[in-house]
Amino acid sequence: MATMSRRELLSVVMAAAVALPVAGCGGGAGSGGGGIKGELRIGLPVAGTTLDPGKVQHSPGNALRILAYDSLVRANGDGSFAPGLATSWRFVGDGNMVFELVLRPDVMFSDGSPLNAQAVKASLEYFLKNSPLASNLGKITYIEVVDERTVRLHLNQGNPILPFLLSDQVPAGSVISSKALADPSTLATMTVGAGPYVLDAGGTVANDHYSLVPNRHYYDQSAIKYSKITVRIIPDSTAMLQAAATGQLDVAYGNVETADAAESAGLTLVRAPNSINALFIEDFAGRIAPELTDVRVRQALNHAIDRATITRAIVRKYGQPTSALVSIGGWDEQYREYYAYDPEKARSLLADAGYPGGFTLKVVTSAVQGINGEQSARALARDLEKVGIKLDLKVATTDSEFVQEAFSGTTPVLHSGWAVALMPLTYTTLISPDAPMNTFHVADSELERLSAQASAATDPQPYWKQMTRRIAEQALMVPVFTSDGIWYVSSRVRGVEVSSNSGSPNPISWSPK
Amino acid sequence: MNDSSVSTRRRAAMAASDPDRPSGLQRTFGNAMLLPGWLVRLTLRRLITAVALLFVVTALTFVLVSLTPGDAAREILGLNASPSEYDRFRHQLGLDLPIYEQYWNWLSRALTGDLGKSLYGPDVAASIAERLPVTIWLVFGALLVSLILGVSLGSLSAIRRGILGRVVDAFALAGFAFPAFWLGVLLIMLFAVKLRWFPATGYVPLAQSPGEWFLSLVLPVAALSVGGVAAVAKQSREAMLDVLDSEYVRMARANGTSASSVFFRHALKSTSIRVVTVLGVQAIGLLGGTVVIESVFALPGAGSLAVTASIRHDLPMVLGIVVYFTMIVVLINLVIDLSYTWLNPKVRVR
Repeated sequence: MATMSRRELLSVVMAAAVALPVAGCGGGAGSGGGGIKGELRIGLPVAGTTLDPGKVQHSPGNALRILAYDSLVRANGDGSFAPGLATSWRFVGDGNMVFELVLRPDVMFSDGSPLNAQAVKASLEYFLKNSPLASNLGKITYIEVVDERTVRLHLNQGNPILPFLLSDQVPAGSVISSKALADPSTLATMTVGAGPYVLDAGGTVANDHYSLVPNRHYYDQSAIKYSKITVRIIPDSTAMLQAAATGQLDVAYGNVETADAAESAGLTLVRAPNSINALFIEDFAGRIAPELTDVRVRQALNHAIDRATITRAIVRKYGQPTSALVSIGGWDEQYREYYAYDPEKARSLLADAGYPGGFTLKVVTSAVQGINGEQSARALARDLEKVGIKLDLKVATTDSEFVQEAFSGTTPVLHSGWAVALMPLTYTTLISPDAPMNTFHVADSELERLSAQASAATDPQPYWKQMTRRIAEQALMVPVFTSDGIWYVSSRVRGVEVSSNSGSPNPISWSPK
Repeated sequence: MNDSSVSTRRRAAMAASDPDRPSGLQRTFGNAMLLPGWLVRLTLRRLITAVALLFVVTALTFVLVSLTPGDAAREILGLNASPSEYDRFRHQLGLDLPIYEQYWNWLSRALTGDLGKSLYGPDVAASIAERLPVTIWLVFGALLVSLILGVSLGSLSAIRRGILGRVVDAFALAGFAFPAFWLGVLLIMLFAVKLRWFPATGYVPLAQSPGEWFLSLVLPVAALSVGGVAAVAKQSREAMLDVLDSEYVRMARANGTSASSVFFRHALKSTSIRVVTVLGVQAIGLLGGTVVIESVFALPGAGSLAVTASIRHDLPMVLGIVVYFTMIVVLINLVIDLSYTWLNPKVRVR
């Protein structure tokens, strides 16, 4: 065979490679370079299902809402509150039944319309009518416009946590322009709040990136620290880490899996406990799992779990074991190790309850909840099997499948993470007889009594602590560990703080270094 | 069907090795006169196929998504909604209707060109249009790289043979074996995190900044195209070896034809049909590959939109994406069939 010369060979390759775009291979830093002064770039794993504060769920995507919709009250990291769109608030009379807010004067929404008592009333009514979180706000009978700047919420049951529920941490406090409420369908894709920034629709691709620019109507222009804020939605935690590590993001939502690598990359980790991993015993009345009616069986479940080992293996330094429900305001440190790891005791309790050979228990968990899902459920199953309790583990592949399975009436125990929240929120969502996640609607009269007392109390915390003790002693759940909510912060930003009281950090308080 | 694209390609491949076929400009322009009738018949047939295909694929998608546990109502309402609120919202979204009725409602709108709204609010067609360019650029870029590098490597290997051939074989094997997402992560670690040459994630529109647009595509395209480069290199090498060892090439050489002329006028053209066939298959595969790559590089493409829509049980959005992707696949097949004709007029799609 005739062979080609080197030059001919080269010409062949060059001919084939004629269009190969090699330019830029030795190029500069691209967009991975340092941040532009004046622009803040935030990375979040989700944007939420909508931008409408009247319909949005709790999610890390709340940062978007907070930027565009200032709230009536601002939650401080230490559990106290600061003025937002309201300058003061108080309960009128006894029993936490009437809550009064005095609004900041001369505030306008981003559409130029005024924020007054009538607008707050309309916004809250919209929230109560539409929001999946409306039940958190309690039973508001009516909203009274006292004068241009004063609004009163009348309740038929005391609700001492209203300042929190109207804070930046909950969408209810995000006031929407009355003008925009005339056509609320637009709120899914645009923002019309009284926050420091407003969505720039032209620079936004839904669920990928959101561009926000200063709201020229914001009441405190000195609080606007950036000429532009870009919120990128990056569901993949590795991609999020890489974007943060290469300087594409200034603040990024992190997680336990990538936290060590983020720290190694020189990012600052800002973190606080934000979720509790537990087996939630739904059927303690024993409708489909009669074993669970016996408190000794529920206590055996608690004693069978080696929390320290599971915590070390799964959340490392980013969490702590606990055998009691962790909530804000109701936490009792003495109950952290109420149930020591003691398989012998667990077997003995089971034998006393009439189950010396153990039993099988159906549990649903989730494949998409990461450390609070299948990973830790498998570890729990191993520990429980050692004392004779076999878990029939159903792993849901989506959140909605998990909920569907939970409501199916065939699942006596759920395994999931739950937010470290104020005790009344945890109680009304998970435990009270009409709580949506009390899927068997089982009542505990002692807890109901304590909850009612707390609702009307000036200082509800002692009652909340009693509730924590009651839940632990009756072993109504099997808490395993708390894990931290983690944010990665670059050296270009200051003021990023999180705490259990304010799990969604408020970007309004961030500023460039 | 005796005029299916598969049989067309078989005929094309057979004809490609025929040394007696007409060549050069005369062939191209001569047949161009015959193309319109051809094109009309072929396009019509493909359109009819596309309609049937769209019907089958969307119906199947509808059934499969509907059978997946969970639904958009629960996804939107979350944990806090009571069963009665959930039922009310399902009704509001029309999710309580029988599957066939839901499908018919969607289909009757889709037939008028209206893909409807996502269960989460945004317009389906607008959302896809916003994200499709990213996916198209990824696929186009990966095909281009596959073509250029694949043909170059395959040609080099066929000409040089020996160790270079084995290297190309090994590369092809590796290219097939390494998953694109894994390569993507490696490329990010090396070129974005360590060297800082390219952005680790994200996409910059071409209109915004051509330079940054190019840089934002380099790593994802590289990760996506490795499999294609391997496939094209292997196919072009084998095709070229067949041609270079054929009698008419030996005769050409014996008659004093130069090596470069043998390569360009005979060998390269003969391998083109096989390369086009491989690229066609690759293009369709790449559409699926973008789903993972868009996730790894956090790119706002139609693939990541499909993933989000599937997770959220957003049936109208999933169906919209399926319609677009099916049409793209049909279009790719049409282009391949037409390119056969252009490359070798002996191939006719009846």
